Amino acid sequence: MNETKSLTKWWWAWSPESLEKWLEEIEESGWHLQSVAMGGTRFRFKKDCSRHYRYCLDYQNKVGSEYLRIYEDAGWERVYQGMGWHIWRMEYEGARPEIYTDWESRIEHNQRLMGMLTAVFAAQIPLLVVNMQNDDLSSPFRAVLSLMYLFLISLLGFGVWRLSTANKELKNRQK
Amino acid sequence: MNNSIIEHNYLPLSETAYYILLSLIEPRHGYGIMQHVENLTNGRIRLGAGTVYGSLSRMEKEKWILVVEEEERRKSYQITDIGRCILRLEIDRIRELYSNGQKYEEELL
Repeated sequence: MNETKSLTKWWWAWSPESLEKWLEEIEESGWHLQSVAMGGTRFRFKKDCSRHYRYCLDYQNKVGSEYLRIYEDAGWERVYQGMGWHIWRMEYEGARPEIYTDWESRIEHNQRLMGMLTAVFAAQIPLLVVNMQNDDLSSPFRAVLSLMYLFLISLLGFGVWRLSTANKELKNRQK
Repeated sequence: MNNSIIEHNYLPLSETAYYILLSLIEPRHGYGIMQHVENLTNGRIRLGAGTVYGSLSRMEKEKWILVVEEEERRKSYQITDIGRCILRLEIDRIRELYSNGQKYEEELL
């Protein structure tokens, strides 16, 4: 019995927990993750026994040579790496494993993410401005394009706000 | 560096930073630190891989620790003189907290 399936999952950069939880539930239901494609949105699974796995998404800007070593020594297995994202997993019993165990490092992780989103956000603005001033394009087309940029900018702004709020929470609770 | 500057900017240390610096009095690599801290604290503190990786990068940048060996992609770190200074001041701070707490310990029972 070599049953496999491929699923697409869309997730937002500012809440990687949704992807983590989704993957964990699938493993629990007896499907093993074989590979990840399409920038971390397409997942291939193989039917097998139920497994108790922790999946952790880690966003990093640039990792040193020892990054892989420390995580692997600690028992993590990397199943995907791309666009700054690393998807790690570990089978476990008992206490749920974490890659970040103090609030300071979780804040730093969120800040890295916010930095990336802000950079992408900022890059859209000149594009929006240029587009709005472009007389070569027809008015309705220009309007649609402008709306799309505005939507994208709002989405990114929302993501940055979400992360900023999460960081404030972490700072207050200090746990 | 001036002691009061250190105290003002860097102290108090988080438990993570304190135990990482303490572990690096001897040369150790990332996972070695995680195991050592778990031992020292009887399992109370289990450092995460990401927390350790981030802390080591930061501490190296601040020159509290330095790389003493690199083998099989494992970097071993050790505390520097600045790091030792910070740790000494932190231990003094903790000692003051502890000895004052001891004076009132009976009344807290």
